[in-house]
Amino acid sequence: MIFPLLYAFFIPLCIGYFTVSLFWQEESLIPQYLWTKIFLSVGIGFGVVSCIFFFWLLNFDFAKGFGILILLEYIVCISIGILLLSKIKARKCNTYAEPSLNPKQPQKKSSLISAFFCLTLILSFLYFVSRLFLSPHGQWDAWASWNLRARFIFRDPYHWKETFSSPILKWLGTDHPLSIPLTIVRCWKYIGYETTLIPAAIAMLYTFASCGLIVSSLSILRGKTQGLLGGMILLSCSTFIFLGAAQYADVPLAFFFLATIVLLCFYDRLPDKNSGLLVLAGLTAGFSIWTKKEGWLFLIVVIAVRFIIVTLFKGWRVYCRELLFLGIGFLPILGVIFCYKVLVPVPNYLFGYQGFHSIIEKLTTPSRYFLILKAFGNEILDFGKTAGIGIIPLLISYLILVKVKIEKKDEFTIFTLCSILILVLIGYFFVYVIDPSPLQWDLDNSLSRLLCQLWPAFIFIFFFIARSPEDCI
Amino acid sequence: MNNIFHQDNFFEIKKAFSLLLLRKINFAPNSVRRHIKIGLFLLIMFALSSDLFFFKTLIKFDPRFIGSDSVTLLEKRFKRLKKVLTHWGVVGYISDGDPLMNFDASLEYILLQRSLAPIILDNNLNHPLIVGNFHGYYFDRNILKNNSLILYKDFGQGIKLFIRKIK
Repeated sequence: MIFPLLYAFFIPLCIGYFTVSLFWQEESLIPQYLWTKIFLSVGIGFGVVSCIFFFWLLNFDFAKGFGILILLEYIVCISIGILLLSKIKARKCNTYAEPSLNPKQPQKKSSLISAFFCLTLILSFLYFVSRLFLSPHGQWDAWASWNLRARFIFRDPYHWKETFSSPILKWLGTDHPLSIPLTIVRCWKYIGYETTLIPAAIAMLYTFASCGLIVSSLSILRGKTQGLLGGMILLSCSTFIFLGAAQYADVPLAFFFLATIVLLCFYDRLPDKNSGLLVLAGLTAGFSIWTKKEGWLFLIVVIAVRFIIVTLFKGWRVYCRELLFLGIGFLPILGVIFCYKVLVPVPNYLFGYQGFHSIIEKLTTPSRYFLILKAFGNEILDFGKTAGIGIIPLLISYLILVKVKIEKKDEFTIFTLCSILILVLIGYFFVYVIDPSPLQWDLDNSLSRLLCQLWPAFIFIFFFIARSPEDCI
Repeated sequence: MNNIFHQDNFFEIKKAFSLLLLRKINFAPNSVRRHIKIGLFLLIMFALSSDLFFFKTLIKFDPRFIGSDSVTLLEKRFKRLKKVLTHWGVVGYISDGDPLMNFDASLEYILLQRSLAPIILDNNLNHPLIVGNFHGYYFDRNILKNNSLILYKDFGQGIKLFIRKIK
């Protein structure tokens, strides 16, 4: 079992790393952004193999065609690898590292922060594992939707389309796409049987890769201390770790939101304006839709915000070029999602079960706005509460104390990233306004998860803006 | 009076002001440093409080509880039924709790669906095969009579399989 299991995880990581390296090339042979690329490759690799598996599931026999699946994955992996090698060879390489984006060297304070970060990492990891032991099937949404859909496909790969289209199972959440269920089924297929170990391992990888991505990217952009602080605060949020161990798809979605934000940030910040980073950002935004339908809102907001800000500051020609490269990333994924929607034509939860008049009525009911505002306020104040104080009031206090530090070159990036985050939050607000379910019930059950989706991206932006302790020493 | 505005004096005063200003400027980084120290202290305290929470949970962790979560236990309860129902199709469902009204009943309904997958479990009786999920020692035989059901097999622990009489 152990070798097929390792192989099932090794191939996506290889595909992910080759894809990231292909589109994000560095001048030097010594990769300066190695760790950021490795953590990005977790989500991108799983996203790519779930799309390959979807194609295979539709076109080949599940019982007999396993060899073809392996061959397909090999072909994709080797093709990207060869493309990458040819690009590396064609480039005039130098063995010297590029100048750092943040030339400040780690200070003595970072060793103290490193110690606290390591402590939090170890304890949060053990907490995560203990939760997995106590609830190996995850919590409600995991066993009633994500893992259950994986089970439906794995146990009967010939009727899953009919099953998912059945109105009897509308509670199954089949209007959500298939990234997570297919990733699970693919691994089960590799090892030959169903086990709770696979969804647990996938959840663990996404949770801790989010932390790794924050630490590695902030270390490059704002210094090691800032990176470690970001990682420490992300892991200190027990809600995030709990949802990760609960095997909810909100954590993989949060990873893709974070990855898109980080890639856009690197694109704006790096002097050479590497368009490959935009392709990767488009890819991660596309995978966010392939993971959960909230990804649609995120992609629309990213495109709209870039349209307004880039057109205003740099002109529409620059924006058209940006949109082209973003599109190269997300359009193939939209194609896969379109294919799924054609095969499983279930109505959208938000618009399919209520008429236009019902939506207008909800939009014109002030009490709904007050209720949602109150719930948002309470949730933001209490989010990640462990010792009597929520994490967001604490971060606001921290920001007042250390103050913001925005360099001229970062103004554009920060404005873009903050706008994306705020508009997605406003979007979530209006989703609640037109929500067809009983509002209070839905707020109680889903608001903390929605905030968790934005949590890693928020942490990244927060520590990107906040003054680093290294700046003052 | 004229001496005060003498050029030399003016330069002296300017120098004194500059020194004072520099001192003030020198004070500023100290206050910033102090603020940063307080800020870092707050963040570390928060992280430590979370660490304490994780640690307390770990201490309370009892390996004897592994495998006794509600999902695993209910899956064990439905295991024998699963062996009988293997092929894809739709079966009906009857229970002494209404899955649409009661949280525990809906939990059991979804978990039974989970166990029986890929079979679809429909919460009504319009199917030739009906799965029954009952609690308690006493089983009301009137349920069979009122719904034209024939008991096909009793799997124990309240799990039964019925056949519906076609009128």
